[in-house]
Amino acid sequence: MSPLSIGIVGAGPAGCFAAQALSKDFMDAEITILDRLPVPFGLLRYGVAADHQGTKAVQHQFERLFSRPNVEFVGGLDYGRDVDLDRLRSIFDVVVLATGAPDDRRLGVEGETLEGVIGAGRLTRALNSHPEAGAELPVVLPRVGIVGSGNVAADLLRLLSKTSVEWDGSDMDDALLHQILPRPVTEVHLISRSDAVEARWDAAMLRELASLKRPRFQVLTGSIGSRGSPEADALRELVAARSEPTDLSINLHFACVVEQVLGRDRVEGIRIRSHTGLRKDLPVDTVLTAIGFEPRPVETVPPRVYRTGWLRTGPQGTIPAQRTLSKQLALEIARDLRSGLIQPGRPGCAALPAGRTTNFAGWRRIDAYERAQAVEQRVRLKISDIETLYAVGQDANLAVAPARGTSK
Amino acid sequence: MKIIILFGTESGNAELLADEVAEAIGNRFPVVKHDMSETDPMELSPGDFHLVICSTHGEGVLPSGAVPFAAALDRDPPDLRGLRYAMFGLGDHSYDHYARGSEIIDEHLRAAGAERVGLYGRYDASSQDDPVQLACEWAFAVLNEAGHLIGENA
Ligand SMILES: Cc1cc2nc3c(=O)[nH]c(=O)nc-3n(C[C@H](O)[C@H](O)[C@H](O)COP(=O)(O)OP(=O)(O)OC[C@H]3O[C@@H](n4cnc5c(N)ncnc54)[C@H](O)[C@@H]3O)c2cc1C
Ligand SMILES: Cc1cc2nc3c(=O)[nH]c(=O)nc-3n(C[C@H](O)[C@H](O)[C@H](O)COP(=O)(O)O)c2cc1C
Repeated sequence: MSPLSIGIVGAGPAGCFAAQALSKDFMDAEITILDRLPVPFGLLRYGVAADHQGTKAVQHQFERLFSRPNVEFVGGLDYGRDVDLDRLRSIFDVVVLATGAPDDRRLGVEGETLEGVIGAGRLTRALNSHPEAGAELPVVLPRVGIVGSGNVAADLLRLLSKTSVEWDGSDMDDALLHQILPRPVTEVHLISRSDAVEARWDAAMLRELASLKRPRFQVLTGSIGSRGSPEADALRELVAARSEPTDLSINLHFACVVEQVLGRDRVEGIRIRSHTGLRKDLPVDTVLTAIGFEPRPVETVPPRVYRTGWLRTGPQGTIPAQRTLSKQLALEIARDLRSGLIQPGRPGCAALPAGRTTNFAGWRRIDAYERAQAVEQRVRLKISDIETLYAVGQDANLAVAPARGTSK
Repeated sequence: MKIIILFGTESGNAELLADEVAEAIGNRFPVVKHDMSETDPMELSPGDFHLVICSTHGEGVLPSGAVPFAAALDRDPPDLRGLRYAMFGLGDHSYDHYARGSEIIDEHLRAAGAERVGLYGRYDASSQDDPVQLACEWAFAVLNEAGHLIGENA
């Protein structure tokens, strides 16, 4: 019998964990992971903060995965533009969609389209050298409003506060950072819809903020309250930690909503209203929204097509959660194989449309090149230009050491 | 005597190391890989040698894959006297309790009478180290040291 051919669209954590689980459960299956970008790993590369290299260690697992002879990476194929679902279903016995949910949720108030309102997804992509961010690089001016109080908002607080030495050990591109932050941020107003106890960030993220050199934290609207939770305790410590004036004040506003972004052509302020009805206008020149991502519309999928990751669950859930989902996916596929719903026999990878694509060897070249370009105290210098990504990825003359401990 | 590689994981890194160590030592010893989330501590046997690989999550706590295993050891500790194991912890030194998850498992095993032998290996996720290389070096060092306990071709 011919081996099962599996096509996975999207090489983010969800797609990679899916491939990992499927290659374990279906040993003979031939698995192809395609991505619209020439490089794999989705938000692991373009969302997770540059100074959280530890989180990126799961990449080792995926590198192993792609080194197996029956797992292929095809970068540079856009699902929707280069290949559609019917075509994929004629090429693969099983199709898994794992394209995530990259669009920032909209604020939904007057002024949200003013220049200077920037979604967290857009900003974190730019800070991570995403190749599509360069054309219109977001610029963050010294007085910033941040809307939201989850881990992404905490990421932003940290990223905007760091001094050069605090980036040691990261892969931050300093020149790019300087373009995004032409002058140091001096004042932040963080606006949280929920009260302090119900905010969605983790205590560990808040504790990390306490170790930053510049900022002084204070609560300007609402209060932390006396109710205990690890997050509220961490917040209390953060506020108590430093009272002397500094050159960066981070002001927290709890239990209040954004009524309007103020300004004529570009952001001049933000109007908030507390639960008690009190209005305040805060003078800011940039508004960052960290209120989540737009879920992709849920369409029913035909037989032999599955969804996983943020595309399936909506835009929430951590990287480990993607691993859990992948095990569930493998069970569903095993069930459909047993029931005869899936009949192997389709050609797989070789039948994909040709185009300007990269493969895993190409990623290894890009990876090696970026590490070699790293400046002092940085672990890599990411290539932010799409043409250079393809050029390096396709340059077979670039010598690359074999993947660590692998056989391919 | 078999080598049992017992791993506890949240995002799969410990499992990757278990796979790679199994492959690296597989031609010298009979090896079996067990996920803590599917292991009853009662099944552990002093007749096997254990390589335990466990990560850390939250605020220095166990990864979710190791929680039921530790709870079972806590609730109803089996008599593990005579059982020998070596420990490898995964963590990240930028957190407060570096590799604490592995220490928690270590404490539970010792409380039940098991004996830890050899090097205590560690991998720091925010270092530039190759975790696979570290874990394999650790396993070889431990097995060389404990070789007399195991018997090369047992
Ligand atoms: C700013 C930010 C920071 C985060 N930090 C952390 C963290 O520190 N720890 C943590 O555990 N989680 C973190 N997360 C959550 C984590 O990123 C997600 O859980 C995870 O990335 C979801 O995986 P996914 O594969 O579904 O989506 P994605 O990671 O978005 O991957 C989707 C992939 O599909 C590709 N794709 C999209 N459209 C197409 C198309 N048409 N054709 C082909 N390919 C396509 C994309 O290029 C991408 O590679 C963070 C998220 C964000 C937004
Ligand atoms: C949310 C989170 C919390 C963590 N907490 C700790 C910690 O308290 N101490 C530590 O040493 N490492 C901590 N780590 C690091 C992990 O132990 C490390 O990334 C490890 O490689 C994960 O292995 P796993 O994939 O097997 O779970 C944490 C990682 C994450 C993502």
